[in-house]
Amino acid sequence: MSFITRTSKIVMTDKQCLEEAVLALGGKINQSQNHAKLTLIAANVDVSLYKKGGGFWSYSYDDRSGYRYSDFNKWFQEVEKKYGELLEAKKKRLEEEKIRVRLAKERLEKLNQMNTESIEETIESQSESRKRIQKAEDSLLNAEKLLDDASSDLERIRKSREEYVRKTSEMVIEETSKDGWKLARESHNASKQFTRIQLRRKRLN
Amino acid sequence: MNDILRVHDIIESSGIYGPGDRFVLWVQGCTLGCKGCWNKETWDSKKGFNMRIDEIVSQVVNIEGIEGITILGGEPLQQSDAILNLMRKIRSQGLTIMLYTGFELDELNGSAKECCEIADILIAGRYIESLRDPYLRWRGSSNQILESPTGAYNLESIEDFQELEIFISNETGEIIVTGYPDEV
Repeated sequence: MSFITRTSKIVMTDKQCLEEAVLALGGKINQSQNHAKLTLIAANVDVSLYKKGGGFWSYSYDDRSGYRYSDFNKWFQEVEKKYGELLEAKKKRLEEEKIRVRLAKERLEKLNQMNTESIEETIESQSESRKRIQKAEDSLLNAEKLLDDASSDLERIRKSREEYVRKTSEMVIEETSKDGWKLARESHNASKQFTRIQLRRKRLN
Repeated sequence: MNDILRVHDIIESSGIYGPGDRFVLWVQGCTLGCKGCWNKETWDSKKGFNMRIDEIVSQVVNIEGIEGITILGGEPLQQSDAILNLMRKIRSQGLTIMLYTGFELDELNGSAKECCEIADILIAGRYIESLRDPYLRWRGSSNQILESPTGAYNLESIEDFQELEIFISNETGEIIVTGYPDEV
């Protein structure tokens, strides 16, 4: 078993793109435990890839199947080319993703701003509503107080009238009694709101 | 017009114009001109106000606890058609009627006479100042007759005394005095 080790011509630092390129060209990668070695199986050639410093990959292959170096080298050049294409595509995707993320961020910020403004407006509106409610409550309390006062006044007037009628009745009965009148009936008609005093006087012999 | 009455005043319920509590109606207008009359403000037939008979009846039947209606004046029988109409309607309501007139019975005919005939209590005859007696029950002077044409009341046991009634309004403090005064 003999191995030839060569470095790739291009720097293939993107492991994902390298794997995709190999797979796209009918290869298969068996990843080792330490992630430093990849075994490439393509076109009846077992190829080992070794990660070198600086992003270079080295590879070795077993030529026991008679596969020629030039063929393999050509194949690997295809891998490099495909890697470049995939890397460009990935870069493009990344750029597009960056743009999408940036736009999404901008939208999010805008939404946040709108939300903040909306919240502020809501808070302000609620504050106005609270003021109006408070004003209405104050007005209601004031109206209730006025009603209470008016009720008190009406009650005072009612009692005053009752007192007036009572005293007037007493005075009428007392004064007429001096002339011989006697109370025959005293009644209060609540529905008609009057007091009736019926007096009688017999002839003095 | 027998469905309109010229009215001087009304008291919805009084205890001194006949038996029990009664609706009292003073009509407006009297040409008899009795000397010493203390209701001279009822003489002028242009004063007062008009009331429809049905309106009066409706008012009367809605008063709780009254025994009947007493009609005085003024001179009720100078509006005898309307008074007769009123009396019939009041009677149909099961209420009694007490009627005052300054006419003597032999002066009456027609509807005026019929009014007297269907009255449950009738006080008739001129008021004569010289015969005035304030202690007579329901009458002004001793010449006036007191009878019950329908026989609804037994008036023989009526006790004579002078009566006054005073109404004091709880709302306005207004005082109304009705009855038979000592002096005119």
